[in-house]
Amino acid sequence: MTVRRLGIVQWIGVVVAPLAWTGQHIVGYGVGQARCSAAGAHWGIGFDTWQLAILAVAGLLILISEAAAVTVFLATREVNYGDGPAGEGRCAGVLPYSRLHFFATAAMVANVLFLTVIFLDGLGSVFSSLCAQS
Amino acid sequence: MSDYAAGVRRGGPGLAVWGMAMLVASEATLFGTFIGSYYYLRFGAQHWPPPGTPEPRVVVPLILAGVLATTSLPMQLAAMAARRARLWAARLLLVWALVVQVGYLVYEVHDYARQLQHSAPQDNAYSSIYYTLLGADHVHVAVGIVLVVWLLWKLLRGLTTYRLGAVQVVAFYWHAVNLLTLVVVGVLLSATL
Amino acid sequence: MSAAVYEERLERMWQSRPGVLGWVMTTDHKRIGLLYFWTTLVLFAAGGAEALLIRTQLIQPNQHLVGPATYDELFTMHGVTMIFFFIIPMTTGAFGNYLLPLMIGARDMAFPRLNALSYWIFLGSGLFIYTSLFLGMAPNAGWFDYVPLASRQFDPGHAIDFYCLGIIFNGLASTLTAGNFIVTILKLRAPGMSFNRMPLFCFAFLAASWGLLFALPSLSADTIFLFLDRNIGTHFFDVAKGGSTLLWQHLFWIFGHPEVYILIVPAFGIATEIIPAFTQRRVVAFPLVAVAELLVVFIGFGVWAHHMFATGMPTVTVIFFAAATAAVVIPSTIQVFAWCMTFITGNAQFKTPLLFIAGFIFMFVAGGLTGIMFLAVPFDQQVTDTYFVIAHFHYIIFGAAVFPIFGGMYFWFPKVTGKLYFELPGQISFWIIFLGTNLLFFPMHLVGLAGMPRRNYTYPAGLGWGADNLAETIGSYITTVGILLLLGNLVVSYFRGPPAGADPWHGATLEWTIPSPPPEYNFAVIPKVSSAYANWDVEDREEDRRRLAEGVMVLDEGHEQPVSSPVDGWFAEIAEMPHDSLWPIVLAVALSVVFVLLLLHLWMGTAFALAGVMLALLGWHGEEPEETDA
Repeated sequence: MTVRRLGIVQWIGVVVAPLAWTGQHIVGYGVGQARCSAAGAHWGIGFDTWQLAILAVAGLLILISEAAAVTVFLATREVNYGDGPAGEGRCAGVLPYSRLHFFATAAMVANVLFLTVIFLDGLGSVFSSLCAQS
Repeated sequence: MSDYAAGVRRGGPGLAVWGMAMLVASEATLFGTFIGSYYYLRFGAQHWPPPGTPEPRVVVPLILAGVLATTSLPMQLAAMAARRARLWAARLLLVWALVVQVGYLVYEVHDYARQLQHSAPQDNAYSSIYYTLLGADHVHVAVGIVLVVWLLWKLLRGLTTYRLGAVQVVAFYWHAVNLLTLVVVGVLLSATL
Repeated sequence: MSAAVYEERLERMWQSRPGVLGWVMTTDHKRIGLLYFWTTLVLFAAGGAEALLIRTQLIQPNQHLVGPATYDELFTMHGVTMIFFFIIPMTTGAFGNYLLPLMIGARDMAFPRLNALSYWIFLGSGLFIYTSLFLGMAPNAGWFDYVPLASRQFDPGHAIDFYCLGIIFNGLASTLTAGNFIVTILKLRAPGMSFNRMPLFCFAFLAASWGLLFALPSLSADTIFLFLDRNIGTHFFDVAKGGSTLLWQHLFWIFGHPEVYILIVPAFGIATEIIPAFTQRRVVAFPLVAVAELLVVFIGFGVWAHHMFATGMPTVTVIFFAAATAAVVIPSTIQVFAWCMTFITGNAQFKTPLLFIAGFIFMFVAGGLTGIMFLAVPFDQQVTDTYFVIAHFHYIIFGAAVFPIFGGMYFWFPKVTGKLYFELPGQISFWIIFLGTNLLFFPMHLVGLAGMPRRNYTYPAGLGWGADNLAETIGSYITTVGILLLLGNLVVSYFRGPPAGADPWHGATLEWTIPSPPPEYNFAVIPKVSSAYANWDVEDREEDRRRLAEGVMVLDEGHEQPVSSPVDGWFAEIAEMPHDSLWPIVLAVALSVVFVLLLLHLWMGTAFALAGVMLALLGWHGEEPEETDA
């Protein structure tokens, strides 16, 4: 893969998962707020359908994001972050490979967290009693 | 040492655009909270607007918001003309944009006053958020007009790198305000759905 | 030309005007940082006095040092002062302003005049809100100012108007600072400083700045709505007319929760620079610590309703916030593990700054454990509004924000003053503060679980709360002694301390490569950067000396600053920076007039004052840089 393409894939890995969680969080909360409010109770909102659909979309996006991060991580394995001396045969922090590797490493870990959260709240909302006060 | 290739000296238009991006981000978030508040109140209301409060008109506000949005074209063209040092083209494009923007604002202020004769922000929560959201948008349009007038005054004395940056920055501001106006009008008109 | 000649040219180019006028007109980030530092210390003292009065009132049951109305003002002003007028301005305004350009190899912030404006607005907002105290109408509905208690019906008079306007006014300063920091960090890094070579301190401040930028508008909207409800008669929060009291809480905590991460993340940044210096080891898992600092603020935007678990929201909505709260713990934990591993695998020297960081980790973990407990809704509903909550957030705020601030004061004291502090009193001050704060805040867990409610000016005898409260009050006095010793040590060291030199700690970052105190232009030559620990890259520092001797990247033909690309730090262009100006203070005064007129309900006057503000803005932009080529 060219450096330019690697860069685009890196940004997919970094940005898509957080945005997916953000969307799932806002829409999921919003659907619950609407469904359980005075006006929205009569709008025929299929709460569980919405939550599972949002969960599926967000989950797919996060998996794509994670795949992108892993791809860049593997493609830049030979690089260090530029925070240490050059070892034999390593690229010694050369840009942009070291930056790509840095973001990919960070994103790989972060995306797992986002995946966990959307399953926690997505499934949790479906298995909770609808509109019961907490 | 390719890291340190000599660069062109400028008065920093690049940084100015970034600064405007920060302002736009902050203001967009402010409007985001206004809009979130609108829907939060809307979800809690059986009737929206409440009985006795008139529904907003649909056609005229939509058309006018669209007309305002078209000023993004002359604003962007003005920025591009300034970048190519075509001073008179930039001035004329800014005047074109200004005429439309002022016309829009004059009508909207008149309409805002007309609506106040039929309902007041003090009537209920719907009117409170309606007039606040709409008024905030009008204030941003007014500030944009002041910026364009200021630009025209600056450009009376010719074009410099700094003033080129100013044109780019004000164009950016107007793109944001035009998009904002479309969103705000859409939100307010959603009450008729 | 020799290095000395270049340095002399830069000195002449960048020097400030002499005297008081020089300070009033300054746009130098170091001077602005110092202005913030001293102003913030005065306000810290005020907030501390409020705390001591609260603690003395609660020393035993049924005391009458202050009555309930005054007590309400005290805890409100204590919270408002400590959050908005101490921690935020001390971390972002003082530490951030002074150190950020130094750490990235820059000569100033991206927008120097805007930086000065932030300070003068901050000062104006502090004077504005403390005027309320002197007039006997201080805000009194808690720092979070819930409606309907804060509505005109239940809180007539000007107290809450002071709160609304003061908060918006103060928020302006922080918003401008946040935007300034973001652009500075993204565009003004020394060429070669890509994201993976940026110090962790900068990641922390980038995260906090994004947080401020996106969180403050929610608070502004909230206080605007409240001001309109109270003074124009709107109904945003009036249930009878279709409004919602919970709307206040949502908007407040959408700001309020990111705010608490904004409080501690800069302090994390301070810690992540002190640790490498005193362990002489790079921080373990650098990319994970960097992303953790950003994640904690990002995810922190999604947890706000965990402050509202006792308001009767439906479980299906509450669950989103409980899950996000569970998630937000992880980045903090990653950082704690990384710091601990750095301690263990490094060569830890427990000088005073590192002692404070060790204390910070201890208290942050303790506070974090109680924080996790709150994500369990049933537990949260039992301890809401009790002292258990106060214990949690003081362990976090005092432990995770104030301890690193104190450590940072000691750590960078040599850089700012050119003198070393006295080590033994420093260590003693740490131990006194550490013991005092634990004695002050730990019993609050117990008394909170035993049911003692918050925000009550006294409590009855016979409930078993007296002994814990007595211990807490004694702890508050001990803490005060420790803080006074700390400040006294720094003052005496300023006058009598031995010379420090440029790099007493063999620190990792760029500020240790320049003299102490730094010259006005910061760097005579724009530094070459190959890693996040630039001061330890010996070859790069030698390259800098060669370049200075040859006049390469000295940039001495104006107030010049290189601008780089945001991600990889490729050199882009040279910018001419503004210098001393009166417009920032003029604009801040004009804004102060606007807020005073709003408070007095003089709407026409306000309109004129706003026009004055616009004129000041236009005048400001009448100053144009020298044109060399278009």
